[in-house]
Formats: sequence, C-alpha cells, structure tokens
Amino acid sequence: MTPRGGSVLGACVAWVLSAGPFVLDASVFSGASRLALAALPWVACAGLPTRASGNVAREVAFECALFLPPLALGAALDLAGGAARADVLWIGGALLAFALGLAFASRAAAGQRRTRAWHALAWIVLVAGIPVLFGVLERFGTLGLSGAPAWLARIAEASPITWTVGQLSSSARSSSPLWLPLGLVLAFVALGIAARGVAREEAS
Amino acid sequence: MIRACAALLLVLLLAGAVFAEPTTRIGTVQLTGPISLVELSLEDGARARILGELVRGETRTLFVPLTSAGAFPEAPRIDYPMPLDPATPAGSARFLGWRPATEALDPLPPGLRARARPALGDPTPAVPRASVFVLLVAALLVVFLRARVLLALAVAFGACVALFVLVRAPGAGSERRVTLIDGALDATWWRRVDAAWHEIEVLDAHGAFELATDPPAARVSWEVRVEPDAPWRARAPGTRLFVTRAQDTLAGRFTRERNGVVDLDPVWTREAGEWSRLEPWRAGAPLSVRRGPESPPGWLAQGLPQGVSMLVARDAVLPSTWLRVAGLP
Repeated sequence: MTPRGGSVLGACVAWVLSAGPFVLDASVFSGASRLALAALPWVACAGLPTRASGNVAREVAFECALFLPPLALGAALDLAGGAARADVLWIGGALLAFALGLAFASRAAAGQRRTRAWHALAWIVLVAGIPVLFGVLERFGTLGLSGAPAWLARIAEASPITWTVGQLSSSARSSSPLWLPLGLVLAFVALGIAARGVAREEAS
Repeated sequence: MIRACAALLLVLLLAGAVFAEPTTRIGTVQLTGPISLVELSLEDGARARILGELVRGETRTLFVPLTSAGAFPEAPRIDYPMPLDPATPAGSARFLGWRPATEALDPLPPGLRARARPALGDPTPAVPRASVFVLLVAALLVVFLRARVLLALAVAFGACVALFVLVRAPGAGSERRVTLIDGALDATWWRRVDAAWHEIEVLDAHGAFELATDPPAARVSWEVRVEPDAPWRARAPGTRLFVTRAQDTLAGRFTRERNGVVDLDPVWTREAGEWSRLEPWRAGAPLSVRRGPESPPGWLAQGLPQGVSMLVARDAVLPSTWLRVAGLP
C-alpha cells in the first residue's frame, strides 16, 4: 500500500520549507544551526493530526526517506562550520527521534475516532498550542505587560518544537533539558501503540 | 535652498547614525542580593547581561561594558526580576556612573595603530550548488518510489552520503580566531589584536581596550559574570569582532642570535625589500636559515613600514597567534 496522496502532499510542502533555506545565501544563516533549521518544518508537521490511516510503517518510512537528505545536508554544513561532531550527532538523533515518534503516533492514532481525537487534543495543546501561547506572552512581557508564568514556560519546554527552536542559534543554544520533549514524544508513541491495539481488538 | 540644505543635513545625520563606528563604555553597577538576571540596555538595543546570582545581603560592584554607535545616556536602563510578594526581600542594582573614557590605544605609535586588522574568513560554509541538485533529485525519486519504501530509503541514504562528500569546510585563510602581536623592537608599547567571529572574550577586563566590529553597525551584546576576574564576553552573531589593546614590548626577547619567546613556524623575514621563508625558529635558538623566496599571507605583509627589516611568524604551539616584528637588528 502506497502512502496516501494527502500525506504525500503535506510532506512535500514541509520538505519545501525544510530544503528551501539551502537555496538562499549561506551568510544569511551565519551563526545558525542548519540542521535544526532543516528539521524544524518536519518536527512541526510530523505529528499533525491526520484523519485517515494508511500503512503506518510505510508512511513513516516515506517521510524519513524524504527528510533525511535535507537533515544530512544541514548536519554536513554544521560540521563544516566548526560544530562539534558530538553536538551534531546528539541534536540530529534527538530531532530524528522527535519527528519519527510524532509521525508514528499521528498515523497510529488515526485508525479510531476516539484515539484520533485524543491525539489531536494532546498535539494541539502540548506540542503546538502552549509554545505559541508562551511565545505570545513572552512578547507581551518584553512590551512591559505581565510576562508568561513560570509553569507555562516549563510546559512549553516539553514541546519538541520549542526544543528545536532552542537549537537554532549555534552561539546561544538553549539549555532546556532534552528529557522533557523526549518524554512527551514517548507518551505520544505509547498512545499510538495503545490506539493500534484497540483498533486490532475491534477488528478481530 | 534652505530645504535642500536641511534635507542634506538630515541625510548626512542618518548616514552618520547608520555607519557610525560603535564605541564601548564601561559602566559601574552596584548589586545587592538577592538578585539575579540583571540586564543593562540602551535605547538603540545595546545590552549587557550580568550572569550569576547574589544571595541576600551580598553586595558587589561590577564593571559592565556596553557598546553603542549612538550617544550614551547618563545611565542605562537596568532590568531584573522583582518578587511579586512585597514581603519577600528584594535585591537592588544601582548604576554608579560611567568609567572615564580612556583611549586604549593612545600609547601606540600612529603607524602601528593604522595597520590593518587581522583577516578572518567567513566560517559559514557555502552550500554547493550540486548539493541542492542532489536534494531535489533525491526528493523526486523518493516520491516516485513511494510504493517501494525500501528502495526510497536506499536512495535517501545514497543522497546523504553524496551530500556529506559535497560539503567542504571553508579552506585556508578562513581562520575563526586570530591573535596578532605587532610591534617594533625600538618601541615601548606593542599592539595586540584578538579577532574572532561571532563572539570574543576580553580576558583582562579591567585593562583598557578598544572593540571594533565588521560590519561596523553590528549590535554587540555583552556578558559579565558576578564572579570577580571572570572574563567578559562580547557577542555579535555574523560579525567579526576585534579587541585591540596596547601591551608591553617584547623587544629584548628577539635578536638574530636568540629567540626568547616560543617556537615559531612558519617564519618569514623581509630584508632589503625581499621576503624570504625561513626554517622553523626554535625557542632559544639563533635565527634559522633561509629556505627560499616566499611572501607571508597578504594581510600580514600589507601596510608595513618601508626600509626596515621585518619578521613575520606564527606560534608553533598556538597556531592562531601571529607575531610581526619591525626592525630586527
């Protein structure tokens, strides 16, 4: 079974965002991690709630094949720019784990209406919503209004998108812990595995 | 006519604001704990962060640099988090004033001050055009082969290998960090220039120094630690930063008979207007023998005084450090 047309189109749009910056003048990205920049669109889109479920393994493998080259180019540029090999491996491994985990969870949860709704709610709140809310409140904070509360910052730190954005600047890399977003992605994967179990039970 | 003159004046003023060389001034700040995350800023975006924390009752006076192309106000804006509960003891940060501006390079002879700064290449590696082509072809093949995912993955891995082969680090002459120690054997003061991309440390923070940036209008942010004697750090992503200071002369430690400093390799000398490459010059040894005619890198050979012998060499142990000496006897 081939990956669905909608899934392919969505992945291609994210691929354009991922590979597009490589066409621009490299000096624009001086001081930025090209690996994190290339991975950001994939990490942001991988877990998007999806309606229909195809062959999960095939769809995830297709996304992996599509995004590996831009990530490899980003990693090669970071290494050539003087980044430590251990840093590049660490960040690359984490970003790959985020994207693959979220892509699997999204497709695995799509089989059942209930699990799809749970995945959508969790993704909208924890992966995308709270980081955006935190960013907006932080912006208000710089304008002199009351900033984001500390507890919101802690929840926002758990989003893989926040972690990826924190790695964008090579010189001022965020020191937020990796275990928070990794834990969240693992929770999404667990939800996906549970959803597949429920789907199999109902089918049998 | 008056309107034209006013417009011209306005344009000149605006151009002056855009292209003005930034200057660095040192402010004195008194911190009383409990306090952390103190930030000093100016209206044009110049800022300095004080890293570290003082506990209750602890007091410290710190020197904090700020770099701006505009005029410095009487006091910068100081921000730090205040506890929401009024019953919680709060610390304070008080600005005591700017340290009197010292001309860091005044002791240096004008010829030495006017010499070019070290050359730093752009460490940002260029994206080879072929790699964009490989990306595009790989994506098309992966989409085309999406029914045979294993084959698509094999294509992706092949593209990854090709991309790693295509991308190369910037070549020679693109060093990221260079120190140049520059002077004449008959001078009392020498010039030391530390140059780096993106960020630079000022080790002797209490000494006088001059910070320059390329491009000149770059926004520099500083980091200062509350611990005494910790180095200052200037940050300006995508910018070359140069810290220049006057240092004690190394005269007396160099003669043709003895190298009183460190192992030097490579070594060039200019005698009677002709550059020559010499064998490595070991510490404690007499000047090494000539290898043949050869000029040093261009940035080290430009703008030098004529009619005097020159020595240009690189520290064999710390290869980012260069030495340039005029008037070798």
